[in-house]
Amino acid sequence: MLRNSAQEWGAIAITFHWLVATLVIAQFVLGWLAVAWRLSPTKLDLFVWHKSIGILVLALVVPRLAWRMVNRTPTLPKAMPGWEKRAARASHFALYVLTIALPLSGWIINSASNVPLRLFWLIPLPDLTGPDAGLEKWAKASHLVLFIALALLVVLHTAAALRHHFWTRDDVLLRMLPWRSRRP
Amino acid sequence: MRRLAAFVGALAGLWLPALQGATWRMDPEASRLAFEARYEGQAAPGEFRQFAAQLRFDPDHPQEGRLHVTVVLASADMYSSDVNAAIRQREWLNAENVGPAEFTSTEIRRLSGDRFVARGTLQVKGMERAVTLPFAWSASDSSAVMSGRVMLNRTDFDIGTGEWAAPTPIGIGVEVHFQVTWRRSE
Repeated sequence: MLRNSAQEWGAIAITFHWLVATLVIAQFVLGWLAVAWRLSPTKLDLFVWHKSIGILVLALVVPRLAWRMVNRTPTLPKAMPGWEKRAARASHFALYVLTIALPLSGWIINSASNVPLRLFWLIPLPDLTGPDAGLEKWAKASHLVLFIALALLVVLHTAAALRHHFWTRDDVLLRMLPWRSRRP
Repeated sequence: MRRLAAFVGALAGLWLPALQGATWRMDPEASRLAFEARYEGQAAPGEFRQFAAQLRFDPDHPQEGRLHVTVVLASADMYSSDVNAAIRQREWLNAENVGPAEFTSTEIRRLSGDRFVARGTLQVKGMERAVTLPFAWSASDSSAVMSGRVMLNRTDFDIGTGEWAAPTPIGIGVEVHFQVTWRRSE
């Protein structure tokens, strides 16, 4: 099934989830490597990969949110207390916001620092602003803060999913897996 | 009367060599020396903010002309503080430790109409290479504009050494373009 139902995530939503998850984890690694690497051709290439994948994540958010809006969202288990449901909705909302804000702040850094960029060595990326040292500094600080926020949320998100599986023993984690399996 | 004409003609003949060597003064405000490198496959523009040029040139007698240009490498600006810091390093322009780049013409000749070419030697970072500089010349009574572009290989001048000498991520070819405004100085 491509579409979501009241009980299940459809194949498209599952694909979006794992694609973005993989790219975000890759971004954590690439971002750290690019910053830490000594100035060399490898460092410049790491930055092109990091920036290209970041913009790809930003580009994926649009169809992903659109798909979510034209679909129903599977319901949370009835046994979940109200505060947990509210926390789940708030943290998912924050995850979406961060997958927009983090690439956007990176795009601002790239524009303000005026480093030429061709996404995946193919597509020139227009600048959001002209060269601006003050804005560059501000955007770099924001990028770091947003990264820390996203990293913490990813840990929370993963821990919550594992809790659903091993503690409350419901279908919340299983129904997002790419291979279909249900509790007997 | 015929003698007078001959006398005037002789005088003109004496004056002509001086005119052929017309000297020009560069107007720094109206002159620009820019370049375009390639960075990860994308055009990376820049310019030299400080350069000076001396010219003796008469378009009717180009072969007697002479062009000399000096460029302060530390004045290179690629409009990015990150890139500017990097290109000043030893592997690139070594801007704080080497003298200015220098072009000295050995021959100027006309190609056609207002198109000329200056052959000469370009020295950057102590490396010398023969360079052919094509340029267009348009003059009015008191000023003239010289413009042109030339493709240089950065590796000819040890710009980007070691691991940077490869054609990626920084391209080998750098297109230099210039537009210099000259004021007639008599």
